[in-house]
Amino acid sequence: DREIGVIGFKSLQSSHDMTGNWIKCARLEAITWILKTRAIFGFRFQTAYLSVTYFDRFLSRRAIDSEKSWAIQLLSVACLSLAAKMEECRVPALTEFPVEEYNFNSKVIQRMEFLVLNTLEWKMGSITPFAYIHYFITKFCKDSPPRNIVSRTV
Amino acid sequence: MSTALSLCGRNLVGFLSIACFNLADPQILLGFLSVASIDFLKGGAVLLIEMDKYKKTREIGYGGFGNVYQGCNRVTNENVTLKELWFPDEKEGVPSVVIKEISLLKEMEHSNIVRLLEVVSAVNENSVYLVYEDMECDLQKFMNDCPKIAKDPDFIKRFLQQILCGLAYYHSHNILHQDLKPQNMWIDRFDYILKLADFGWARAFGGSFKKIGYLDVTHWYKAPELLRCQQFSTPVDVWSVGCIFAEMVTRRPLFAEFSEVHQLLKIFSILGTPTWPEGTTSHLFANCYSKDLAAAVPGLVTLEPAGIDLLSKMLCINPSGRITAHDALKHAYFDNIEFEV
Repeated sequence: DREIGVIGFKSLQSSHDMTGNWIKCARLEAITWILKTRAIFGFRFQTAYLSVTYFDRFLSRRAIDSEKSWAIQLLSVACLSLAAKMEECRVPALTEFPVEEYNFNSKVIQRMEFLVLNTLEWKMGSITPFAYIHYFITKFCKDSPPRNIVSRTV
Repeated sequence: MSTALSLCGRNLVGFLSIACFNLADPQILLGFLSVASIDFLKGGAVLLIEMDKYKKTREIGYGGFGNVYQGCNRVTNENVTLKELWFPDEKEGVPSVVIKEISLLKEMEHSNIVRLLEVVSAVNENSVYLVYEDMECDLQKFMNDCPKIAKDPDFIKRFLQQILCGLAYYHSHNILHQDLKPQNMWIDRFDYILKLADFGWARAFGGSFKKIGYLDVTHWYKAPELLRCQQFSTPVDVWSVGCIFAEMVTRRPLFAEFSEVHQLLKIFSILGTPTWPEGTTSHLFANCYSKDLAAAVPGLVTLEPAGIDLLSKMLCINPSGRITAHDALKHAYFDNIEFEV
């Protein structure tokens, strides 16, 4: 039982310090993947941002054991897909998300979506700074707001 | 593995079978196994809240994306209402409309709106169940079962105020209900608290909630702009409340025709035909705009003048001239209300 218990997702209290460093690297990789995938699908920046907030909120409630990089990858796919569903008009099918190392079928990704949704208690409508950026930009540069300022801000 | 299986019981088996047969990577299988087992063993953090927790006792109706059941919590025996939502397309995962709607509903917290307790997923089915608090009686049943109380002018006033409070809350969050009718309003028989329910998910899926054993009243409470397939917004809900207000007073539906076309003609015959902006007025009804409501509907004589005034403002055919839920609450009709909600 204990063997099984220490693999995979864990409750947060246990072995928090040991995984600290690993999770930092994993998070960085996940963000890199999210940004790359955002560009591929032409998602807006707020979609990528939102998916990272889901990712972080999830990890603040559940820990993932090191060596389980597939779990991080699966989590990234689920978070980006959920964020796209909240923000984008056109959302790709689950299997269209480019995952190099693993072969997740749509049923597994959907399960992961459920896991994220339930962990975040279905509170997915987070307000991001993007909701205010345009307002402040128009306040700051009244006459001619520079082009692409949002992407440059990011 | 076998220990974990026996400990986790059915939930795990369901979860496992999906991971097991669809994934080539054995690590993933192990990972998923531990996901389920650790949460089960620790007891506190529930991984996937499964449908096993609830028992369906009977089907009570159907709406937009699935059936509605009465059920109970197997552990606490607490009664609940279960709204099933199934997803047609597995490739899409959890549909965006479901995510958006549920995350909205999760934010809704008002004493006159039925509370969404939690969302549970059904293993091996492409569906989720929304678990709502259960209330034993809807307004339709209440009017039939307790005519004396339901007819009392103070109770009508008290119920109307609560309907409008719940509705104003919805509208303040930019949410349309679109399916207001007596069968969608629950009443607690002990303290006469009324709560709005939304089992049809009308705005998300265009489906009205239909109760089993009830007449199909889908269009009885529809505003004229909805019947005419015109642009619509929050005024459609106020119209429905107006119809329900009149029904509480007269004990019969105000406009109850068998088709949408007849429904519209009936509305015009009672209220008069308006001049629509596009000039598509039916000549038959020209020049009879804004009839005297009390004269047109004899059952309304028992309603005080302030009530008639409020009702006619709610049943204004032109949606832009219709009173808002927020303003209706400030109407003189409620000045002498004895109950504080």
